[in-house]
Amino acid sequence: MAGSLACVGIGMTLGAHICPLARSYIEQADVVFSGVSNGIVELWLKEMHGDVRSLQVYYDEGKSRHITYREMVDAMLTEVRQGKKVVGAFYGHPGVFAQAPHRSLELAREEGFEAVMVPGISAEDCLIADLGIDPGQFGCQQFEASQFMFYQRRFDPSCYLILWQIGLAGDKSMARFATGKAHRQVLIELLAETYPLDHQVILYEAAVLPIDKVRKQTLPLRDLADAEIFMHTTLVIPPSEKMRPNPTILDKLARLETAHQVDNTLMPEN
Amino acid sequence: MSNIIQLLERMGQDAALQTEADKLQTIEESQISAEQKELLINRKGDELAESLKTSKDIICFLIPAKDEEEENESETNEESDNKSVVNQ
Repeated sequence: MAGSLACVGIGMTLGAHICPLARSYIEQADVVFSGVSNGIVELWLKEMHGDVRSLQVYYDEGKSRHITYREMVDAMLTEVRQGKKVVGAFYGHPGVFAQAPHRSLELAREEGFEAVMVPGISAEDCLIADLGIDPGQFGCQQFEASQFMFYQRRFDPSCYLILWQIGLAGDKSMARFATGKAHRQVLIELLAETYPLDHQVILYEAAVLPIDKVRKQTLPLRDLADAEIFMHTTLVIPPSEKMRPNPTILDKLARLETAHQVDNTLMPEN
Repeated sequence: MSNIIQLLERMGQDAALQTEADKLQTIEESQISAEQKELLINRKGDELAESLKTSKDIICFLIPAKDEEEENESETNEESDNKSVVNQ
C-alpha cells in the first residue's frame, strides 16, 4: 500500500546528534512534520526539506494536550492515507515518553501502511554524558514529575532518581505550560519524606544549540521551590543512602553455590 | 543552506569546533552578519531566533505512551492523570 510513516529522532543538539538514517528519511520524504524544541532547529529541518510543517500549531495554552496530541496524529495520518511518504521528526528520541509518535505508528500499521521508528539521542543520553552519571553504578529510576506526585511510586534513595518536566510538576489540567513555586513546594515535601532537605540535587538542561551552555546546577533540595525552572529543566537526585545488601537472597544464592559444589564433587570422573 | 544555520550545524558536528576558543574563532571568521556574530558569541539563542523570524517559545511537552487500558480511559476522560514528559 502506498503511503508510509517514519518517526525519526533528531537528537538534542542541532547538527550534533542526527543519525544518517534519520537524515535520509527526512530528505526522501514527501512531507515532514516537526516536533522540536527550538525554532532554529525547525529552520534547520527546513534546510533539509522543502515541506516541513510544524506541529507547534496544535499547542495552545488552556487547551488539553490530549487534544493536541490527537490532532498531531491526525495531521500525520491524513498525509499517509493520501499515499505520501511522511516523516515525523522529533527532538531527542521519538519513542521516549512520546505519545504522538507511538500512536501514529500504531495507527499507520493497523491501517496497513509501512511504519518505522528511528531512534535518536535523548535528553537522558545527554544527561548521562554531561553529568558523568553511570546508571549502572547505583541504578537509576526516572519518572515524569507530575506522575511521580499523583501516584504512590516506589522509589529507591540508594539509586539515582530523575524527574522530567519539573517545570510542570503537579499540573492536573494538562492545559498549562508551567506550574510554580507552590506546586514545587508540594514536590519538595514529598521528596523530603525520603531525602534530607539539605541533600544536594541537580538541575539539568541539555544543549539545544551548539552555542548553549549545559545547565548543571547543584543546590539543596530545600531551595528547589525558588530555583529558576524552565520547560526543559530536569531534576536529578543522586543517591542519599548506600545500597543495602539483601541477606535472604544472598543466603539462597550461597545455598545454591554449596549444592552446586557438592554436585560437582559427587560427579564421577571420566 | 543559509549561512547561520550552516554555521550552527557545523559547530554541532565538527569535532574540531567543540572548545570555546574554536567556536569563537569560527564564529568570528564566518560570513554571517555582525549582529548574528554577537548573538552567537553571547549565547543569545532567543534573540537569534527573533532575528531569524522564528519562534523562541516552542512548546515541547510530549506525554508518555499509554497502554491499551489507559488509552481507553483517556478517551472517556480528557482530564486523565497520566501525562507528559519533556526533553526526551
